[in-house]
Amino acid sequence: MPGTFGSLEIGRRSLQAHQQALQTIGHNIANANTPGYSRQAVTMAATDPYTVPSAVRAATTGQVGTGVNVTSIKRYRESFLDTQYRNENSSLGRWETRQELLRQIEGVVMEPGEAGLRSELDRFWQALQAVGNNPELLGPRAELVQRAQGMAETFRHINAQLRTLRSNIDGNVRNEAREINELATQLADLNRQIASSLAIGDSPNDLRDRRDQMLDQLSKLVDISTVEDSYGNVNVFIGSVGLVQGQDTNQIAIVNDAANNNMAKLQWSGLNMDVRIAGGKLAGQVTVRDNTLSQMIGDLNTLAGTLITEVNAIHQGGYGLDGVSGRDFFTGTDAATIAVDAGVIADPSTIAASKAANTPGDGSNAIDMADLRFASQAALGNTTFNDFNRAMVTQLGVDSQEAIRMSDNQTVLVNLIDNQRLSVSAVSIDEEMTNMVKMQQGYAAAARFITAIDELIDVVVNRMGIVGR
Amino acid sequence: MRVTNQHLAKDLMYNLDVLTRRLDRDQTQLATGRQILYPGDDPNGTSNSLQMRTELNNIVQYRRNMEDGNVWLTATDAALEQLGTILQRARELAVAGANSVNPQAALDAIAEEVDHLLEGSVQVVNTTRDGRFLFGGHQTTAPPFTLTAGPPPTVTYNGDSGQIEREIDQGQRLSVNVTGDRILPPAPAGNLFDTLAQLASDLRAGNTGNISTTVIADLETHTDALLGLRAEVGAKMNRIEQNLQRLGGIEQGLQTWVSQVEDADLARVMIDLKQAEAAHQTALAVGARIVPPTLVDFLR
Repeated sequence: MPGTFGSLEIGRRSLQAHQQALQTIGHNIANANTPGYSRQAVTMAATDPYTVPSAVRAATTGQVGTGVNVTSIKRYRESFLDTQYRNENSSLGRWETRQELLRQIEGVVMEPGEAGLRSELDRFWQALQAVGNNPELLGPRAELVQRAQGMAETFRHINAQLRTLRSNIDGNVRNEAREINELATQLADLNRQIASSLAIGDSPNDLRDRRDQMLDQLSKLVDISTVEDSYGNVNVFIGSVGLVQGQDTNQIAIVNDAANNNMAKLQWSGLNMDVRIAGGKLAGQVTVRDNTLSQMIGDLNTLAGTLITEVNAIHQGGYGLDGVSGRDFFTGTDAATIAVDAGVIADPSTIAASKAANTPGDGSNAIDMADLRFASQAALGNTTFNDFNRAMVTQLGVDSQEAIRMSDNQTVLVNLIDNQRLSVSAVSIDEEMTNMVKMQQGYAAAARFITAIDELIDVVVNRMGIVGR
Repeated sequence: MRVTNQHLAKDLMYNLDVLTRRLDRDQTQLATGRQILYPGDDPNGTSNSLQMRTELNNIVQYRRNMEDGNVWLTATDAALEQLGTILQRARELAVAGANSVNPQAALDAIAEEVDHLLEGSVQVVNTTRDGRFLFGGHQTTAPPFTLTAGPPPTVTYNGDSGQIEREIDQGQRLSVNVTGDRILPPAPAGNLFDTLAQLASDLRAGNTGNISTTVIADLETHTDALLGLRAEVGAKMNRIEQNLQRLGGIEQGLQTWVSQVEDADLARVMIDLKQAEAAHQTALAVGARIVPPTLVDFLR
């Protein structure tokens, strides 16, 4: 039968359990606003009861309780929600990045408005007609030179901006590849700590939180899948290749791709295999860099190149005021090099407005050049110059609109999943305060219990057997 | 569902962010007066806007072309009218001179006036506009007609038959000049300057018979030819006038359309702004009430 001192032991266990519970509550409150923190709670259980030895058990009760014990500290986390969150987060990263980059490109093309290529083309056609109306006058010719220079400038400007944007994105791709490598190394390190902690029977809750948060971060950069093995290691895969395998990593190597303007190509180092990127910021950047921008730069070059060829072909067949023919109006071959011929700039009277030598009043060649605006060009897929530009801008708009819509949708979705996750894992101050009050009362009661037992012992030790003294 | 403090704060931030973006969009639309700021705002509208603006620019240029052409035609018409007046006067003088009772001295005086008429007519056909000669075809920088003193005085045409054209609509070009060779049809009949010279020499020679038999008839032929040219010029002016009206109608329609596609509907945006403003304020007020209090505030 447990004695008085046994009861003291029950009181001690209770004090200790409640103190540990209060410590955990304190830890929760301290981390109430820590991103990625999962709330923890102690699991209390009654300790093994004491069975009173007795042959027949006639006079006493059977098992006697021996108090309380903290069996574990539980971490509230739903791994299914984590997987969902990371999948959607990859998608969000991809669309968000795509949307931001496309908006930057939209800023470069400056449509619709009076500063874009459409407006410059229109002004060029108008200036050509003005020369056609007054071929003898130098005023309209000088104006044409100005307009043509403005248009060439716009071509070159847009081209340069698109190229700058492309190399900026490439820089980001490189940075993110390095970040992924860095995260992989840290994850492998955490795997080691967690596995060794589990091996000695601990529950490494806070280390797991850190690892989960790092996986969240990684999922924003690139699409990943994860599998946790029986030792507590998380294996991380990009495509089908393991980025983190147990406590080792496969690093990503950045290769300059000669076939793609020396842009960064990501390969598995040592495996001679491309990294297959389907989501995350990295996917958004790579697709805008390699598809949207390369396509636009190519289209712009085709547009400028065709314009140069077509205008020059007509210009060469015409005659300037000095009766000379066979001269070019534009020089260059693409959007980067297009410029008005230096001879034309120096002397606008050499613009071939006439169809025959020494016919100053004939502006029909200039009007023919202006009529190029109606001509379908085979090189432009049988569209006119303006239509080609319009198709380019419209495609950009359609892509951008889709990216805006998708990134809005993904934001809502990720928020929804994150809220579900928070509802499982986040700290509620109200809840912690309620638990704190509960544990505080429990602690106080245990202390009172010890005092009571103490008084019992006091009676036995100090006051028993002194009757009549 | 368990709702936590982080959850509340996060939702509040998200909602405020959505509302702030809506306010920003409305604000920008009101400030710029435009509803399409980037192609992505409305790709279809952007496409329409680009096309219609190009079309508008084309029409504006056609109008300029036509107005410029009209100036040429008006100047040409005026010159031809002047030439007609000169021929009219020459005919009057020819009729007066054909009367055989005139003494030679009177005929000489008439001949003197005819000489002036000849010089005047050459001046008329060498009319310039902005320093350019109207009747020289493509040779607009040198006087197309030169008068060589006689006897008999001769007028030669140095221009060509080049047509000066204005584009008045897609693929439509209208020639706006009358070339000198049409005023001056080549022999055999003799051109109007030849006829005037003939008249002067007949008057001086007292050859009144030839005047009544040939010269007067020739002058009438030339007058008819001039009237024909003026009718042609007038018809072209009419065509331009009609085209201007037609394109004006299209331009107005396009402008309305462009405005519908590009411009923000201010009333609608204002209403949306007011709604967004109210929602934003409410969200802020609610946020201020729900975020701070926890059980901590009530425990002693």
